Amino acid sequence: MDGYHGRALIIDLATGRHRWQPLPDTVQRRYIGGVGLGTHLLREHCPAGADSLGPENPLIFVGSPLTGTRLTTTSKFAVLAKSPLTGLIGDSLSSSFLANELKRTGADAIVITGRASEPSLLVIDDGSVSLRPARHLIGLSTSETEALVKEELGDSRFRVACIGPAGERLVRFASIANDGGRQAGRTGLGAVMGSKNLKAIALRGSQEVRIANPAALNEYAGRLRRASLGPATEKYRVLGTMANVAVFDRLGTLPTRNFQQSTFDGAERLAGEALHASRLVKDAHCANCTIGCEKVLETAHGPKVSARMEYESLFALGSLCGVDDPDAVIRAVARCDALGMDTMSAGATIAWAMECWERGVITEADTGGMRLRFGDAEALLTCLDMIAERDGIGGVLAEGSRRATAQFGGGSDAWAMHVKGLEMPGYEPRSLKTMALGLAVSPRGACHNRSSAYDADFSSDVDRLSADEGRGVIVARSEDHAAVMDSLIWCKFLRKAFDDFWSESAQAYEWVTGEAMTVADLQTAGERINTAKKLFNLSHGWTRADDTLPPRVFEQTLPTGPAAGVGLTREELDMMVRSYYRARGWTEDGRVPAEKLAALGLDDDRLL
Amino acid sequence: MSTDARPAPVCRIELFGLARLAAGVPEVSLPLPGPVTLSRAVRFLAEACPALVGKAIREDGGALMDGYVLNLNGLSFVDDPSAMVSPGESLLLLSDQAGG
Repeated sequence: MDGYHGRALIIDLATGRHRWQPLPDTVQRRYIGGVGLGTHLLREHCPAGADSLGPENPLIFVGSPLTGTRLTTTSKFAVLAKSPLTGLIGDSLSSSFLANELKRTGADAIVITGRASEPSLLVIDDGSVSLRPARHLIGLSTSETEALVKEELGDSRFRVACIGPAGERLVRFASIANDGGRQAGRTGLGAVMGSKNLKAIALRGSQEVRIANPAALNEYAGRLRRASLGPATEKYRVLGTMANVAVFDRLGTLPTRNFQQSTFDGAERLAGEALHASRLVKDAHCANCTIGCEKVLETAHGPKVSARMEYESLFALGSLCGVDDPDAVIRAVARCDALGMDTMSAGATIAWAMECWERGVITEADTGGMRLRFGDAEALLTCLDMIAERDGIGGVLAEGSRRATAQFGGGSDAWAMHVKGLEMPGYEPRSLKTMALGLAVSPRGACHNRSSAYDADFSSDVDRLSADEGRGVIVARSEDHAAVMDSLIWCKFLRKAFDDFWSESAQAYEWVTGEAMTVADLQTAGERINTAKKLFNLSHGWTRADDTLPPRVFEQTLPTGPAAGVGLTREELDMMVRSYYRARGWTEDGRVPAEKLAALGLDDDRLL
Repeated sequence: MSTDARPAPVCRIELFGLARLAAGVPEVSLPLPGPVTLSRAVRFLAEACPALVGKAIREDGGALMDGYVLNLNGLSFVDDPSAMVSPGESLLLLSDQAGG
C-alpha cells in the first residue's frame, strides 16, 4: 500500500538490538496511523499489569500516512505508552520537522522497549540504529539538549526528541520536547522516556514513500491551504488559543483558583487581546503549517524571557493558581518547557497544593518556609523548580495531584482536580455539560483534545448549563472524529476549514495510499480506535468508577459569573455516562460486548 | 425640575478576540428603540461600529461573517436571526472557534 513503509522498528534498549516488524495493509487501514496505529501497537507490546515506569512499558513514536505530503498541518506524530499518571493509555501529539524525519527513517512507527544501562542517546539514521552514552547530557534543559545533540552529530538535518531534568527524575507529568520547544505534553510520556535511561532520540532519514495519486492530492492540498487561510482558522492565526481567556471568563468557564470559581478577576490582564498588544514578539509555525497558531510572548518587565503561549498554559499557570501577572506566567511556561514538564498538570498540581496551604493541610513545615498562597507568582516559579528537582515538597508534587493527596491526606482528594489521574484542562465542567461528559469518559483522563465535546457547548445546539441524554451521542461522535484526526494526522485547528471533513479525509487517504476508503470506513475506524483504547484500559484495570469527575464538581455550585449557582449532580453525570455507553453499544457498566468487538474486527485484533 | 433616572435603552455589545482588535474597544453601547431581532441588532452594530464591517459583520451589514457567533447575556448562543434582543441585555460577539 502506498503512503506507508509497512513496518515498525522495534528497539530493545537493554540489548541495543532492533528488529523490523511488518505492519500488514489490513492493520494500516484499520488504524490509519498516529494515535490509532499507536494504540494497536501499545496493546500488542505492553503487557497487562505493566509498571508504567518499568522496562516492559513500550514508548512508541508513530507517524501517519499524510505526513510528508503537501497537505497543510500534517507534519505531526503521536507518542504513546502506559501513562505514569493514570496507569491507563497515555498518548500525546507533537509536530513539526521531527514528524517528517520520523517518516523518512523508513518506519511507520518506532517501538522502544527495555531500559538502557546508562543515560543514552538513541540515533536512528536512515534505519540504522545505535545507542550512545549520554551522561554528559544529564541535567541539560530541553533546548540545550537538542542543540548539543545536533552539534555532536554534525548535521542539522537530525531532528531530536528529548527530555529535560523533569523526565530524568521521573516527574509523572514530564513531557518530551522536539523542534525547539514543541511538546508531547500530556500523560507523562517524558517520565517513561526517563525510566528507560533515554535522554534523547535523534532521527535522520532519506526514505520516501510513494504517493498513489500525487496530482490529485496536490491539487486538493492547494485548495485546503487556501481554506486554511480563511475565517475558519482566523482566531488561531491572529491571536492563537490565548484568545480563550477573556471570553471563557465572561461565559463563566475559566477555571480559577483550583476550580473554586469559573471567573477570574485578573482575566483581562491575561487576555489574549491584551497580550497580543503588549507582549507578542512573533508568530511561529510548525513545519508545513499555514495556520501558525504559536504566539511567542516576551516579558515586559525584568529579565527578558520568551515562551510560546497557549490558552492551556495561561489558564493552568495563571487563573488556576490565581496569578494574574502575565510576565510571571511567561516565566512559568518557559520554565516548564526548559525543564520538560506539562504546563497543565504542573499548574493544576500546584493549584491543588495552594488550596491545601490555604486550608492548612500543607504548612510551612512541609514547604520549607515557602508560603503557597494563590496568586503568589514567586511561589509558583519556585514550586516548578522544586518539582523538576524533586526537592522537598516538589518530590510529592512531582507525583501529580492524585498521588499527592495520599501523602497529605486531610480530605485533600476532595479538591484534587483530575480524572483518572490526569489533571483537568481549562474547561469548567459545571458550565459546559457536554464537555463534562467528554472529560469523564475520555480514555486518557481529563482531556480536551481527544474529543471536541465543548464545540456543542459553545453553540446553539445544546443548553450548556443543563445535562440531558442527548450528550452521549454527541461525545461519542466527537471522539470518533478526533480519533481520525489524530490518526491521519490533521491539526485540530483545521477542523472547521473542511467543507466536509469525512469525505475529504477519505479522499485524501485514498489519493495517498491508493486504497479505497469510504466515509463509513473512516467513521468505523474512528470507533475502532476509541474502542481499542478502551480495551487497553480494560486490560490495565479500568473500572466503571473511573468514568467520573472530581468530587468538587458535584459538591459545589459555581459561585460567580453567568453560571452562578449552577452545579452538576452525580445523578446527572451518571445519566450522561449511561447515554454515552448506549451510543457506543457498550454494556451498562461500560464494557465492550463480544458482538461489538466482532463488528469492529477487534475480536482477534491482537494477532498481527 | 425632575431628572429621568432610568438607564438609557441600550444593548451592551461585548467584543472578544478579533472583533475587539478590529473595533479597538472591548464593548459598544448600542441604543435600541425597543426589542429588536438579532438581525436588526447586527445592523445597528454595523452602523455604530463600522470597523467591524468586513471583519466580523458582512459588508451588507445584515449578518455576521463566517467564523463569528453571538451569545446572549453570557448564557445561550444564538444563531436565529429572528431571535429577539432587548435594551438592557448583553450580546457577546466572539469567534466560533472554541478550542485550544
